[in-house]
Amino acid sequence: MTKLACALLVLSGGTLAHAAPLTAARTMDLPVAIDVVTAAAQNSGYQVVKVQPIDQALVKRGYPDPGIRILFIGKSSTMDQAMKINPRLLSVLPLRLSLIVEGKDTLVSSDDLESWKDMFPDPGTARLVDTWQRDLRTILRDFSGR
Amino acid sequence: MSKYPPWLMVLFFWFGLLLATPATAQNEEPLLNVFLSGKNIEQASELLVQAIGNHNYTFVRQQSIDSRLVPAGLETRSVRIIYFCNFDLMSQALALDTRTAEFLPCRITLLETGTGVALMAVNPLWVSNRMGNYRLHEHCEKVKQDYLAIMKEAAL
Repeated sequence: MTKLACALLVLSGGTLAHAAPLTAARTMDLPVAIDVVTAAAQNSGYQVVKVQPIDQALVKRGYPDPGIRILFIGKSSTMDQAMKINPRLLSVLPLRLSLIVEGKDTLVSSDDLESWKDMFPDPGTARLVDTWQRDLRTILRDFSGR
Repeated sequence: MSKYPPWLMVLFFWFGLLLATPATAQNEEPLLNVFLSGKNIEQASELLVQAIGNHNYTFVRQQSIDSRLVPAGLETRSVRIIYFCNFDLMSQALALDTRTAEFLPCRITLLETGTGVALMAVNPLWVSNRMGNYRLHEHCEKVKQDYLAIMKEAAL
């Protein structure tokens, strides 16, 4: 009986182990947050490739304002590295940051890259994803002012 | 009276709930792939943009993967990204869970090889499965099927 219970717990744990994206929040409005994230990205050697104003695109078409914008960031070496190590990773480039308005705060959230390591467990892919995650963590830490 | 202790009944119930979650989502691949044999990236892009329109999505933009990261004119020609969107679906998805911004707007990456063009897209169902919000499943299943339909039409 105890063994059965343990097995169920282990299985449940595996199923519930949802990965979490990297996030940071700061009390500021969206336009200011975009400027601060842009500067934080540049501090880590990344360029903002595109600000996707999906909030404005939706409002213009009569939909409710979701209070969300997407920033695509990159640097030229990321593409070369992905091409060389695992071209399937090209599908997550340029890297994406979601800016979400939550009251007086703006939450910045990165794509969850951790799961890619589970799907492609070769050491090269893991190292590359780790590098991107470390960069994203630095950018978010910079954004949050810590 | 049940022969099982209450704590084990709770565990059985909890595990049953887990099993009742969409089973297919657990087996999703991270990428959706279609290969356009014998095409170059220009032809593939044109076919893809047509297919996007045919499936009630709006073409947003296309760009080289290193656009704005290298000087203009020196961008990589063999890797391109096409962005597109269905505003109705996007609004619904964001209303359900703002984390769906992780796969919005839709994007397909085109990689030209010596024999054709590989189309790759992150599987929205794989992403939503990781998020653990069962309410997204139906929505993401539709978007996944739309991705596949668009890519397969482009490959016809």
